[in-house]
Amino acid sequence: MTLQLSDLFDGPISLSQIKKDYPNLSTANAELASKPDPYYNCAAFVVNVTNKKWWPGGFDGYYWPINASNTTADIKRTFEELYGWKSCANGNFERRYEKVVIFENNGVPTHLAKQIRDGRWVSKIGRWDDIKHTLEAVGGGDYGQPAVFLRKRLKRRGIFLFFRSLLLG
Amino acid sequence: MPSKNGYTDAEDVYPHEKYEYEPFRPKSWETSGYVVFVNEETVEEKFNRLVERWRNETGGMSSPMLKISNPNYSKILKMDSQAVLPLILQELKNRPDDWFFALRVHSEENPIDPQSVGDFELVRQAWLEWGKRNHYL
Repeated sequence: MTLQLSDLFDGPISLSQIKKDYPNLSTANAELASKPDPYYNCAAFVVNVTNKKWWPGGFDGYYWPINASNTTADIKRTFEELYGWKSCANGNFERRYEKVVIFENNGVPTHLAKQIRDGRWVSKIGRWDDIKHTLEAVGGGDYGQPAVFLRKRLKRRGIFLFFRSLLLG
Repeated sequence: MPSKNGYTDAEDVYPHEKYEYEPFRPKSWETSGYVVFVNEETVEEKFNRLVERWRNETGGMSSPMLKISNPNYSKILKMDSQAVLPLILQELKNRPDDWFFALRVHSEENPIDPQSVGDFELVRQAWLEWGKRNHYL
């Protein structure tokens, strides 16, 4: 069965609204990754939390680990100070790093996504599903454009497993 | 200075607005010869219409600030508090969403324990309990 654009979202949402919010989105550059869930959002999802909503600014029902305002700079500062992420130039895939992108529209932070091992990105779309997508797929509409890229070196799990196997025989 | 058609000079600068906002306006409905059937929307119908529009227009948004500044949400904030509070609480019960700000505005109360501010489900439960205590649910 061919996937329709509206299949990427939990209804009811009109196709015209999808086209307005995500003018570059298509089934060629995005695919469904989960069922819709109203109990977490994109900012929580990038730190692997799926039972809370995260957003800075002190909004009712939204958690943020430090006192921070609703700005891209404060989101970036939180990720740097608490989780050891560092700024990087772009969203190009780097084998030893995981990456996070913060989207901004008119100077206001709108969305966060994290990179997966095939170089694409995965994010929670508002109250709808998680989708795997390219950066271009969700940009250009409500989310605006990628404003900040952060990266963190992946733990060298392969070496750890190698030495562990040597030790344990 | 109003022009001969009743529009000010400033409005004449934007002729497209003049056409858009110049429907047939009889001096009096009684003398116009038309019978007008006005299908008045109930508070519940209006609320449901605004909620569906709001959900449609903000479904993909993550930022709570952008969600609560949507015009449909603003219209809900301006509705009569006593009439709309049970509707918001019922909506929150059935479809969890960002209704906490609207509830605070309409109730002028905040039943949330400071410890649970960042926990969506605890905040939701606190408001639903508040609704039961105050006979809105």
